[in-house]
Parts: sequence; C-alpha cells; structure tokens
Amino acid sequence: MFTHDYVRLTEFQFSEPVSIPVTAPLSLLNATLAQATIKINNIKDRVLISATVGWFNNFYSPGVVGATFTIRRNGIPIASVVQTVSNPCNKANSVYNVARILFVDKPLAEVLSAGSSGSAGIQVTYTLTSDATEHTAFTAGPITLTLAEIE
Amino acid sequence: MTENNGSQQGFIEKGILTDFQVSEPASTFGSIVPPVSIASNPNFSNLATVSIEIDDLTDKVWLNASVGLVAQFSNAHTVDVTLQILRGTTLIYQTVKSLSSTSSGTVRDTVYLEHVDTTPLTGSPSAVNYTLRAQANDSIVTTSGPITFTAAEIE
Repeated sequence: MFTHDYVRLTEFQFSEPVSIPVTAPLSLLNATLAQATIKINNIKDRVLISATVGWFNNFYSPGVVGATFTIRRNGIPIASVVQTVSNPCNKANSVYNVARILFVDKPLAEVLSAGSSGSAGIQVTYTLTSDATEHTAFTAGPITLTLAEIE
Repeated sequence: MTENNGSQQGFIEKGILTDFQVSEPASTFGSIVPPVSIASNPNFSNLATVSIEIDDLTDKVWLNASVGLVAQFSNAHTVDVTLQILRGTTLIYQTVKSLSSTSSGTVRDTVYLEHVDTTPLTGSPSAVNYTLRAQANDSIVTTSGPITFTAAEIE
C-alpha cells in the first residue's frame, strides 16, 4: 500500500522587468537581467526556477551570434543555456529568439555547507544574467524570472 | 510599455498555487491536421484560450505557454512570429521569435512564453479569460502542435 507525501508549491516569487518589448534595448554583454529572492525553511525543500528572455541580434551581413543565459544562486552559476541566431541574407536584419531555462534547485544543503547559519527561514537569491559573443546582441524583453518552493 | 510602468518586482506573502487551468489543443508535433496557418500582419490567429476563477484582488496569475512553429521557405530569408497573451482584450505580454533559412526548405522550432499577471482582477471575483495568439510577417508559418497554455492562481 502506498502512502502519499503531498507536494505543493509555495512562496512564489518573481521578477519581470519587462513583459512587452520596450524601445530601449539592453545589451546582453555581461548583463544582469532579473533577480528574485525566496525564503526556504526546510533543508529538503527544492526551488522550481523558470526564466524566459526574448532577445535579438542586429545583423549587418550574414552570420551567427550566440548568447548565454545563466541562473546564479547567491552569485554562483547553477544552470545555463546557450542559443544562437543567424542571418542568412546579405542585408541588414534583426533576428529574434526566446531563451528558456527550467531548473530545479535544492539550495539549502549547499547554502548551509557554505557557512550560513541556521536551518530554517534562509533567504536565497537567484539572478538571471546574460552574455553574448557580439556587442550587437540585445534584449528588449520580455524578461521573466519566477521561483516557487516545492515542499 | 509594460504593466506597472514597465517594472514589476514581486515578493508575495505565502505565494501558494491554488488553482491550475490548462488549454492544450495539441500535445505533439503534427497532431493538428491540417496545420493552423499563422495569420499575417495585421491579423492574428488565436491558438488557445484559458479561463481561471480569481477570488481576490491581490491574487496573481502565472501564465506559461509553448508553441511549435513550422515555416516553409522558398528562398533564403527570415520570418518573424509575434506571440501575444491577452487578458480579455488587453495586451499583457508579447514576444517575437524569428525563423531563418539559408535556402528553400522547412524550418521547425518551439517558442516559450511566461508571464505573471499582477492585476487579473479590477473588481469583484470573476472568471478571467486569457488568449494566446500569433502573427507572422510572412504567410509561410503554421503550427501543427504542440500548443500548451496554462494559468495558475497564486494567493
């Protein structure tokens, strides 16, 4: 006979600086795009992390440009994706893509082993950062970072 | 511009997911036959709608969507697909996905959308309707799935 351990999502937190593309794009070079903090109260708790970023590159000739998007826990990289956009035409063109990171973290074991005190109610900060292979890569949004505690 | 003057920073008390609704017209590639054409500018194609009951002004709605796209190229170029989420008739989220080809041929890709609606209610408790729709700047784009659109109430 099975006994069920019910799991629920709590402590939902988010940062959404842009939900509709803006007219002043932000360079992806070494950029911080969003940041959110969540309170974790059990060493067994996990954190469901989701990030979505619309980005583009302004091409002036055929080529390929890459961008890296990274989730950092208290500054330490824990998840990343790399994407490319390409221009097949011999003319100027803006090419768009959407990056998505979906990751489950189990933060307290590592945060506590790193020297934090206490075992409950610890604030953990997640940051979404970016970098690109060219200075012509930008985001105009949307930028969304969400956190949910799985307990 | 964005909602709330272009900037949202949330720290929600409790933040418990209490309701979940989904519209999933297709869960696999190729399951919509014939494929749905993505309308050209200025028209839009509605891909999915979802309705969720919201009972408190402070509730949020976490929206997620994924859409598989196909473009039939006859030569080298790029096509842009604009995807939007509307609350009722109000635009609350927009993203753009480009599909490129160096020659004639078929290009397939998947696009993801994610939004936290911080103002789903303006009055008394009611059902809130969200629509996922798409538009392309060239009439060569279709979707045959997957199309998934979810809404989660956060209290």
